[in-house]
Amino acid sequence: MTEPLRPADPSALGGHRLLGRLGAGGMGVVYLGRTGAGALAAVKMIQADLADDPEFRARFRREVQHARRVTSAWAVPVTGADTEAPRPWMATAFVPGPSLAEAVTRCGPLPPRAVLILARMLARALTAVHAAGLVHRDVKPQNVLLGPDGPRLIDFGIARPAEGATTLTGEGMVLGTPGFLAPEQAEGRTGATGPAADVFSLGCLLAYAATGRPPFGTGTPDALLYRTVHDEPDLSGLDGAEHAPLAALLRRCLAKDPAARPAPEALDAEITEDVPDGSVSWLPDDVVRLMAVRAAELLALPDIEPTEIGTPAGPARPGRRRLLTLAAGGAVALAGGAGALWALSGSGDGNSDGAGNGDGGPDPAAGGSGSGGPRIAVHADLSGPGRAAGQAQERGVRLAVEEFNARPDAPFTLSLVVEDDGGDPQRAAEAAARLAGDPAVLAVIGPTHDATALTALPRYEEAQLAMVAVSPGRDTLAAEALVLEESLVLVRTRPSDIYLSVPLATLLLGSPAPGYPGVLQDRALGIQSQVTASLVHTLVRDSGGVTHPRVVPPGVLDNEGYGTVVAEMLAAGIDALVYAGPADGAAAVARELAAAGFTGPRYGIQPVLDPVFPERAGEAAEGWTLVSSFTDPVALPAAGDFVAAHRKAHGEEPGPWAAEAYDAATLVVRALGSAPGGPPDRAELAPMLREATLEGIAKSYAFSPDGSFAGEGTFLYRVENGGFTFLGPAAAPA
Amino acid sequence: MTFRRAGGRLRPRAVAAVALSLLLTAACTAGADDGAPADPESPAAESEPEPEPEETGGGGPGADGAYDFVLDPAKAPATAAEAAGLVDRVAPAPENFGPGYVVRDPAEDDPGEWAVLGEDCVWRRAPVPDGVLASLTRYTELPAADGRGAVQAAMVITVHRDVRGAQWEMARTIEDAQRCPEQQLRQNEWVRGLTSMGQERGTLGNRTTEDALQEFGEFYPDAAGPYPYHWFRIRIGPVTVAFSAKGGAGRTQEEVTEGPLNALVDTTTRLEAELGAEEAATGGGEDDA
Repeated sequence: MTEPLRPADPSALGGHRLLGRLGAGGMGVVYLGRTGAGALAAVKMIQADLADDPEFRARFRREVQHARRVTSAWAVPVTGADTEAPRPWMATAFVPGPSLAEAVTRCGPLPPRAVLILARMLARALTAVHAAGLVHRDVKPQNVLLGPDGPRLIDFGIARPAEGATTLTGEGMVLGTPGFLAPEQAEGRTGATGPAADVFSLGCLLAYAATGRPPFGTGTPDALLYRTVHDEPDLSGLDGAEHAPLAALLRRCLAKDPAARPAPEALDAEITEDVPDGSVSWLPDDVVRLMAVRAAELLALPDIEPTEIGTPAGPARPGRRRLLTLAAGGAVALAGGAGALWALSGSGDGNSDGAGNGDGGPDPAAGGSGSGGPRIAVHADLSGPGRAAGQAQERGVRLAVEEFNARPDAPFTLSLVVEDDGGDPQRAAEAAARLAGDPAVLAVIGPTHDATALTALPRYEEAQLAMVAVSPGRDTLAAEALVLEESLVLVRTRPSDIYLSVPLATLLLGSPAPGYPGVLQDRALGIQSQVTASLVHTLVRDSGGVTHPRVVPPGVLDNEGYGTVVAEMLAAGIDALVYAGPADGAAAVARELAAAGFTGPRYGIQPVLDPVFPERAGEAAEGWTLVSSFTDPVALPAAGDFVAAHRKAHGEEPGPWAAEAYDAATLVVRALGSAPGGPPDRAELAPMLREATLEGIAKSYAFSPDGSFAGEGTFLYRVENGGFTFLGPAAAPA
Repeated sequence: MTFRRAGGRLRPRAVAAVALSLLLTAACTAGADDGAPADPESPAAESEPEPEPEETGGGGPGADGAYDFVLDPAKAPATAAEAAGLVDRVAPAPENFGPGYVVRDPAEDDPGEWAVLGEDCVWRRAPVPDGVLASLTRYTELPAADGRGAVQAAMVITVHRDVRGAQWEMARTIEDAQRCPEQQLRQNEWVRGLTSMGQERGTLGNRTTEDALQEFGEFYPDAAGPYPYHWFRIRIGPVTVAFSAKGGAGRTQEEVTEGPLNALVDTTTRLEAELGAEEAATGGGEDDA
């Protein structure tokens, strides 16, 4: 379904009244709009920082030119564009209908005749694309919309001239969608990627439509690309006589040699099925029904009158929920299944409202300087188990605010509000309610923990108050905290936990001879140990490696001890060990390994990077390599001034997370100070932050449209002499 | 030969993104705003998340508000005979799976045996070890109809001598999927691409059971498939309850899951009644917003 507009979205663009959001991506947002004449359009608006990039603007100009050049009944026409506007945009005709991907996912494979008709119409679309001198390069089921009067090929975002174009993306770079790419694209042979690549992709798309499966299977992008280059397509199920003409056609489209593939015009000519004239008769009943459902959903949008839509209609893209479902494929059952179980078997959710009703009102005295100007807040654990991190963050933010206020050209004086939740989720919700109730607070940096972030985020969300989370790593923070809703206020300045597995897998694979690493998942750490272990197994195996997995329940430290499991892993012949668990467990494991004389590589994840580890493990901790998402500013040249200022203010060096918090505050004060006419409203700040970039003292910052961190941000430490030596950023995988 | 391509540095991030989408999908369970066939109130969709559980062993009830089952240790079976009686009382009948489900032959297995995944990733029956008092498997199916294949389901109820034994079984189940993403179920039955997801209480929407884990994958009987495959195990004190559900031609994931899930809920409810302390189960769920 189409999503409603957000507060920061424009209400009109290029003569279109905007009705909702169809989707968002790295380049910007696509809106559903209506022209003055009442026609619906998909309006793509480029995001602000890209609009300021001359190279990107040139690229967008080319995309519009390319799309305008294609004239076919089966491609979506451009109805308007302004590539020179402050926020460039392009409008195309809106095709009401599900994508082919959604239709097949929900309704199953299409009958052979429908596939041939689809083939013929898309061959005509490709003929027009190629006649315009372009290669589409991203022909896939998601990019074919099933409109009431026939299919439409969309999205010329990565199309490029067939030859002689400026190379925007270098040789060796794979663009497009693995599983639907031609071998020459999969190998990154940009120069060899011509119109025939689109024919191969069309073959993949048609095979998918006919069988319900991509012809090179599913799995990781690497596996897909490998199979595309080396394996024969899987056309099983198309062996019967009724499929014979289609199967023969697909085999030719899917030839490894581009020269052996038919041209789109030849496909059009050899298919004898008649192209229906503006009807849905060629589609199975289920698909037509799906189109009608989409039409009904569209009618639920504000400002769309039923009378204005005469034919079956629906938004061009499935809604967020469905996207999630599709993205995860078979996980649909996981979602529905678990939800149903918990809804049915449990007592419901009796959690009381932790907002501290009654004390949630404005509390202007709360730690502020009383200046009456705009405020930013630190919400941290300053007195509980995470106080080291919380205090370091407060100090980092304080230094950034002082620096801002000391600027001679500071447009206003910022004051700082501090809330301590002691690491307690209930208190975190109360603290968040207080900050939310103080209208002078424009942004919050914190909280410190996953558990406190989970209870605080809903408060900030309700108040449209930007929450800049520096240290929480929970991968599913927003989805869990907001019960499926996307957050509009969350900005995360670190990669989530799962990304910490990548350097571990890289290290394991990069050893002189990838051997037989053991991976010990300790459920004492809950979901974080699980995502780490799972992804390490997946990454290592996808590269042809082997792992020795072990999983232990919570409580091993207090019950059985780790001796048995470590002995079993060593007896199995492991030559490296990854421990995905907490610091105290790591210490016990380290002692067992040392006692057994094991000297192979030993790795731990961020929770192990805690003084508890070397304290309890002693000598046995020496040489462990730990992966983290925070830096040691003392070891960073770019942080020299910050470290000096910190020393001066606090008499000691900054602790973990201080530099990241300083960067987070810098992002916030820049956004606040950059708006002409004074600081922006609360609701405007998070979108500004999400579009911002920063060369910080700890690392470079960029964000995805959903507020997650989009930069490189994993670092390695080694235990040496009872302390942690910063080794620098984890190397990008080879 | 190892395959490496020039753009390979994108790969781990892409894999992580896929894994993440999986997690997010699991997180969707928190909402249960659809796919919950019999929960008219569905208050979960509006309500607050739980704080993380204490990340230690048992985790006392009530620590996170919603899950209020309290095990009465005196009610936990102490002997194989008591355990066999318990599993027999709580095990589901075909009607617990839903309309159309029928008994398979055999209808159940010897409670003195359970299934073990070998080094070779093949499942075999073996006598239960010392720490297990009983393990009953009941088999049902939704027969093939209207051109669609059968859905085959099994419910496994395992009673351990103590809670710790059941906790280890949960850990071992995750380990099994990591060790063997491809498993042979029977002579001519395989699952491939297995992914397991542990959801201890407070995680990814799990509010109502101490520990849960799910696996899904692709089911291949003989030369056919892939069809949906779903495995779901939860723990209540010293007892684990799991279903496995295998799809057939034309069956959607939802169809495959729905019946076994109903039966799992029924079984769990009976188990909680058998093992729970008296004053437990004062349901929350009122609108507190």
